[in-house]
Amino acid sequence: MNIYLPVAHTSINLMIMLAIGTGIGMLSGLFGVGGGFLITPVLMMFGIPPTVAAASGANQMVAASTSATLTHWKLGNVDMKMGLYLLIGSFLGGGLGVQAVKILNSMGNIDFVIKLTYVLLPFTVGGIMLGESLKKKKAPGQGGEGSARQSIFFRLMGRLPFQMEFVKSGVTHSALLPVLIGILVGVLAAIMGVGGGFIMVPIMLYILKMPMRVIIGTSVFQILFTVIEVTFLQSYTNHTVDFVLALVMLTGSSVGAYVGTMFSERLNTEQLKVLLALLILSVGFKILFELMSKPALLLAYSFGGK
Amino acid sequence: MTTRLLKTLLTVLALVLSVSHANAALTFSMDKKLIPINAFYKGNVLTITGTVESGKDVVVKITSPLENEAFMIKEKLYHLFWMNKDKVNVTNVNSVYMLYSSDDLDKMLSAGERNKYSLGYDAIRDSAGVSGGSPESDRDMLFREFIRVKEEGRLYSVNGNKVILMPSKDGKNSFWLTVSMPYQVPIGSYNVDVYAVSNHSVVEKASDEVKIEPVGMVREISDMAMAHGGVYGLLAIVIALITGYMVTPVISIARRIVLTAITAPKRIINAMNGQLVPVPVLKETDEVKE
Repeated sequence: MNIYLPVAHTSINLMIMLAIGTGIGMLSGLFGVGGGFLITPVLMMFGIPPTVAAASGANQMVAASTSATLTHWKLGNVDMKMGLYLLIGSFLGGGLGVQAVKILNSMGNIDFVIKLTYVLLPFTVGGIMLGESLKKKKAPGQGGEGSARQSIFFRLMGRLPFQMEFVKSGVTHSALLPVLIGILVGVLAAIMGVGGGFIMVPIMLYILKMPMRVIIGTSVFQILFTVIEVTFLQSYTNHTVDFVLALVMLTGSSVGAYVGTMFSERLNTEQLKVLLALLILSVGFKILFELMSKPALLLAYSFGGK
Repeated sequence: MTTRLLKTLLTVLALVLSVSHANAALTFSMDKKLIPINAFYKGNVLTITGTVESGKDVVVKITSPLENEAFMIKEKLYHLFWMNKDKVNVTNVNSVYMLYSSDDLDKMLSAGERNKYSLGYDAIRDSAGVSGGSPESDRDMLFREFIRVKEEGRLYSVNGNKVILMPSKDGKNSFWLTVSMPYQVPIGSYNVDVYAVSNHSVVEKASDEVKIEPVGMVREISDMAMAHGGVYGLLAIVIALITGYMVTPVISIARRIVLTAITAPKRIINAMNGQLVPVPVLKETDEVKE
């Protein structure tokens, strides 16, 4: 059965979209990522204009993140204190990122920067995660050179002002650290048009040293507020949120997020890390392949480019 | 004298008009003049029927108004990545162009006539302006890519032997054409031009218009998104929040119902045998801890 999307002005197969929504929702619940870095390319594959795909994807992530946040909240996996500091940073970073996008757009390089970010970041983040997980599997409990280097980094972090204890995560950090991380994630999220979960999760894991389950809960909590902001701004300024598309996707993704969260309780932490690393790497490989292969059509519609 | 002259002129004019009307052998009608876009729209079929003098061929052209379009051309940068590089402007073209004929277009019409009435891709190429791209970009290559983009998007097509001619009465033929209007054809008004062709020339033309418009809920949502973006955005957020909030308890209830339904027959049989079986309880890992 097909339905017509009133803002995207295109017709889609209802069942396929429900299935995609469910799959992306499962990733959200399983890994604590909003799925933004998957939604936009997948919707574009089905003929949805890129701007509508990104904006409607954010709208559907509101539902998926709400469902996942509530479930993680009840499981005691959300570190509110850490989440709020990260949020302050990501809101500031989001504003800076929007300005960076404006400057890059006027220079005519935004397209290249976005795609390159989509290749470099997944490879860096996914590679580090996979490498760390495999290292631990090989030699559990061994520290070595890496931990010596890490200790210098963590000693420096320990000297930052406003040190405080994050009870839920069981860590002590300067309040500046999550704010700075939030800014970095906010800037990248604005450039890449995503909630920032796949950047946030590894940072929480390797820099903030939070336990995996609290990371997932806190990440979806932070994503919820980011995607609310994005949905409103896109509706208000660009009129690109297709509510019908979002409704179809969120019906699937809400169910998927619930199932994903339940699964995340049954998988062990190392399995989750390896799976997320492989997922992030596969997105990077796909975009790299697209960038290097000759496209089927050499012309593309211009939407106010150079 | 003047009155008599005027009367004679009027009589001649009436005679000319009546002869002209009698010669208007090309007539056509469409099964719909408005294609409504409703919630389940996935394109529509437009049926065009009419009559033409026997021995003449028929060409049907459906077009949107002429406009200018902008594209980006992809080129390989740094011998590594394919990226949008330079802007390409294509001017004086239709956004939508669909052409159907009763025979092969090149056989039916001379090149001059095809250009005069903008019939076929060669005629579009001659009248369109293509500029931009890199200095070494080939104009013909850019035009070919433009046609490929349009055909891929189902907005351009040229179809020979699609108009069906059938012998009718009074020395006339009936013609019949079904046009598939894909959902990709955007909202708007489209000209429908029908040409009668004889001896490699267009001898008669008739025109009409068909509209594609959103109706009902599709129109309401589309209008609201454009006119009241802020309210629309808030509404979209609130509905998403409610859906996300409701889904966990709804799924929990659904799981309980399914589990109860699965174990119900066994419990009934055991109860009949005098054994007590407890109602299934979800494991701690299944149920959300409060």
